[in-house]
Amino acid sequence: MLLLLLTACQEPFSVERHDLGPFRVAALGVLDGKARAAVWSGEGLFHDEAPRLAWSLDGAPIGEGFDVEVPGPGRLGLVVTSPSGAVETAEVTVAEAPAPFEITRAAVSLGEDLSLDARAALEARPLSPGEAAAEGEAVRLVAAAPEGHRLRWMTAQGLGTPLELDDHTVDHLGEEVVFDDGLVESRTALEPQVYTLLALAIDGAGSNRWRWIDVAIGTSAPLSAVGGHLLDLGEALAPGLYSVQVSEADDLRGLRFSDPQPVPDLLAEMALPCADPSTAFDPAWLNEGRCLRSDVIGLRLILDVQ
Amino acid sequence: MIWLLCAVAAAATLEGRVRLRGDGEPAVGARVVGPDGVEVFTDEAGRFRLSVPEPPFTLQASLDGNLVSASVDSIEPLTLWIARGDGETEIVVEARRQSPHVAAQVLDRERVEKTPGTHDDPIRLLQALPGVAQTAEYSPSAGDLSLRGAEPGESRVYLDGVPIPYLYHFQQYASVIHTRLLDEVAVYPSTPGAAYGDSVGGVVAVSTRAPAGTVVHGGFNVNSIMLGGYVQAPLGDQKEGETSTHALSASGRRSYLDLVESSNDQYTVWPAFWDYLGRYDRRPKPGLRQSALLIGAGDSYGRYAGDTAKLDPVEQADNPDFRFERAYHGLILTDQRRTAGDTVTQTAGLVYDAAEGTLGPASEARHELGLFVRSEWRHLFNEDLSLGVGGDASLRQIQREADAADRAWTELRRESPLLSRGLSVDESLRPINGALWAEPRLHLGDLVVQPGLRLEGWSLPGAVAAQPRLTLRYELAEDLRLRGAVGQYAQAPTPENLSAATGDPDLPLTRSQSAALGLDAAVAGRLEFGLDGYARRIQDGLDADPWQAPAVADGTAYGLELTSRYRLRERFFAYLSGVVARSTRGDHPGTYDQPYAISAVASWDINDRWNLGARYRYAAGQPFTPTLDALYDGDSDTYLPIEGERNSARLPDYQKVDLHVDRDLIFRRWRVNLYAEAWYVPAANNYLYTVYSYDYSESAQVVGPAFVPCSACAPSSERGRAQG
Repeated sequence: MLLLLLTACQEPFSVERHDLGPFRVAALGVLDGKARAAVWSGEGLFHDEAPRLAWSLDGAPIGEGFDVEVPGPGRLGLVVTSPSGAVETAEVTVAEAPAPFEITRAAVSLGEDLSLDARAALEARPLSPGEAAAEGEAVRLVAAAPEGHRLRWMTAQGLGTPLELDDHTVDHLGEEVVFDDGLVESRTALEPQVYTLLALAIDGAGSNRWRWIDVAIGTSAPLSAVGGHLLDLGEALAPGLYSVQVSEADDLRGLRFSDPQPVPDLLAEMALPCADPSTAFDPAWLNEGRCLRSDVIGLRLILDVQ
Repeated sequence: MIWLLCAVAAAATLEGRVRLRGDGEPAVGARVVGPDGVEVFTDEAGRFRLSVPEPPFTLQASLDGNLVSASVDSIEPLTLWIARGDGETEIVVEARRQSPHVAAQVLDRERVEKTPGTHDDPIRLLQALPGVAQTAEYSPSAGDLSLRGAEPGESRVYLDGVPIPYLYHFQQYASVIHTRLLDEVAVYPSTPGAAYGDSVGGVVAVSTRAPAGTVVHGGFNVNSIMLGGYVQAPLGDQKEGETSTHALSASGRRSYLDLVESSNDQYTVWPAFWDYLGRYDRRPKPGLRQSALLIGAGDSYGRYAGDTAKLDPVEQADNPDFRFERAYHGLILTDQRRTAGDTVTQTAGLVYDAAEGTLGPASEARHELGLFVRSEWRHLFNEDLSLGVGGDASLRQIQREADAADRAWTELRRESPLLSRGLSVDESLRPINGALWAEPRLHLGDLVVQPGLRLEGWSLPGAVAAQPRLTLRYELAEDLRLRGAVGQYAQAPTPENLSAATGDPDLPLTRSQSAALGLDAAVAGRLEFGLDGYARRIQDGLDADPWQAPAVADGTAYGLELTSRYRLRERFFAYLSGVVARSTRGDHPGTYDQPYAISAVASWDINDRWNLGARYRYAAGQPFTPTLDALYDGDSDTYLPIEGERNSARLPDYQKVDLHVDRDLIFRRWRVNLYAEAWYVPAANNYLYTVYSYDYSESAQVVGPAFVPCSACAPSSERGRAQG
């Protein structure tokens, strides 16, 4: 709006696009001919009650729940109802998702200047899987998404500050940075922790793919990389399959994985109605509501540590 | 098409009254002398009728040794006030005008010069009139004129008889006409006469002032936002003290803050505006006046299309820069010939209006060249019967081009409707309009009846409408007048709305039936009251925002307006108005539905040097369409708003206080007017518009500035209180 010589002002909002905060549909698309959605519970990286997903195509119902077949082209609709009764509506153009993409991590020391040019000029130090950036550093994520796709980054519970660098790259800071009219107003360092981000690749025409990715800043405990997540399994582990004990935790992830035991294959996997038995357990199933916490607490699951 | 009608030379007849100061009693037997030495005496009602030449001239009245003079600029009924009894001599310049049209409101010199909050700009006073919707300063609707609940676009603005594209720079920041070249602003909030057409709302008729005076004079003004100047000069040879037969006036203004600040995080190019006006008049012989008026105005700025607060760093770097520029230029030629009983006025105007907006690969441009002609003949058969007939026509060439580059730029709704809808178009539109009208006026004692008929045709959408109208004025008693008007009105959809590419070629004419009834009363010339009621019914009125596909609906508007004005010894002036009104369109409130509004003004000339003034306004907040929910669009990872019922929500009430102080510094040959104004709007009453979070789950009102000062310095060589 044109405001000539105006000192008009407004209070900032409590919600922001980069934050996975309240209940919302974080991503939507079609994968292998099936409707997929990343539903954020608003409670953390888990769901205690399953959201209700009702799918439609050009307004005609086609099914409910996860893995609904999409019968053809058109406009895919979704109505998600949270356990508390909140309703979110969403639509996307039916288009097959692109191939999965990798995300690399690197540590970068940002100075006072957080501008695009200043950050682009910095050298980043590659991080190995499970490696944490040092306290005070930021983690630079680079997504190998297809050409024509742009990455959208969201951080669980709005922790930390993601600052995009280009269409495929983001610098995630272990700080709360407050901007005012484009200038940094304040920077507050956060405690060492693991941050979880959702990386969504979109092309503007419905060909969407997303993945979850953790970054660790300042942590000292050994972390194991499991499908993009960084989990504290109690000890440093070599790559391979491990059976772990799942118990409840009172943190963002809501679960604790302990007692890792190497296993030769997936045959030791307990059959979960919510899970794909042909693969190791993916913590993203909990993030998106495919599996509930109650489905896995007390069980042993097989994780593929990279 | 120009209608040529015959004319014969002679003088005009001036009517008026002379009244006694203090009690307002008629001055019986006062001697009234015209400029040619012709004299008459007032009757028992204090009335007189006098043959006079073409204005301007000075009129004098005397009674019992007391003398009063008045400068007359136009042949309109006037009142002269004279002291009683003791032989004091007063020089008073005062005339209260009576418009020939019922429910017309004139911003007279007193209100123009004595109402605070105008920032040297009398046209900003329009919102002080009870029939005009009050909008918040600097809000998106601040530059819109809504007369008696009419939707934007349903009212017309004329400059010296020719329609002009817009009256205000930006959002009512300043009008396009310099104060010193402004003669009169007449507002017909509803029920205008047959001479006006293609409108179902009201009419604002702005008149520029003919250059006057016998010497070159001028001035300049600078305030905190713009600077400008004007000059008036007689041309050719004339004797000292005599008015020249040729005269020229010119003015120019420009904002200057763009020279100080080039950009900020919101504007890529700081807003700038300018305007100019030049007028040449010649009066080669009595009864003949010809003028040529050149006017132009422009506005430009550049801003970021996206809300920078909602963009990530990469998006901010790529935030497209929207450049907007609009300007118009007009040439208006007027020829007026007066005879013993005839006045023939012919006007021709050529107006070029260009607006362009560019946003990276997207652009929208609109160029319009319009030819307007108007001819009006008024014949006075006798004292009780006169006839006005006339015609007007317009021919416009509109070229529209838009390339939205495969995107709907919703951020540009108000500036580029086509880009906001994602439309690409390249078309020419050539609407032709024409009308004939006739309007006799009959004086039946204290009753004046003015029936009228307007026959109007439009090439787009190919329609003709007969629009009968009737106005009445009845003098119930001394200083008590009843006014009434009723009429049928019609307006064509805009050529853009009729375009097959962007609108609906089947849109019908908008028609309305309007009625108004008013009562005016005055007490001793000090206290005036006005009570007006109006009602309007509309069929097929536009019911969509400019960024939407056009749609029509029926509507209504009705209201009651009360005004009062009080003067005390020419030093103190107070004005109060109140309105209760409603307007609807379809099943929802109209865009400018304003159920209540009050306005109060007080102005005090402490002495010949100092003036203090204050104004207070309170009005219902403007309706708006709320966003109730949102849909997540997976293609763009954004949320699309789901709006509620149109105009189902309302901003908080608006109230504003304006304070004014000015001081004249008088020197031998020139004077300087210094003034300072300030306004205060409480935060709770200063909501401009609503903004939403990215997912529309939260909303907030943008609040305008609470306190805004403005000061100015205006030297001039003109006599009288110089302002602006």
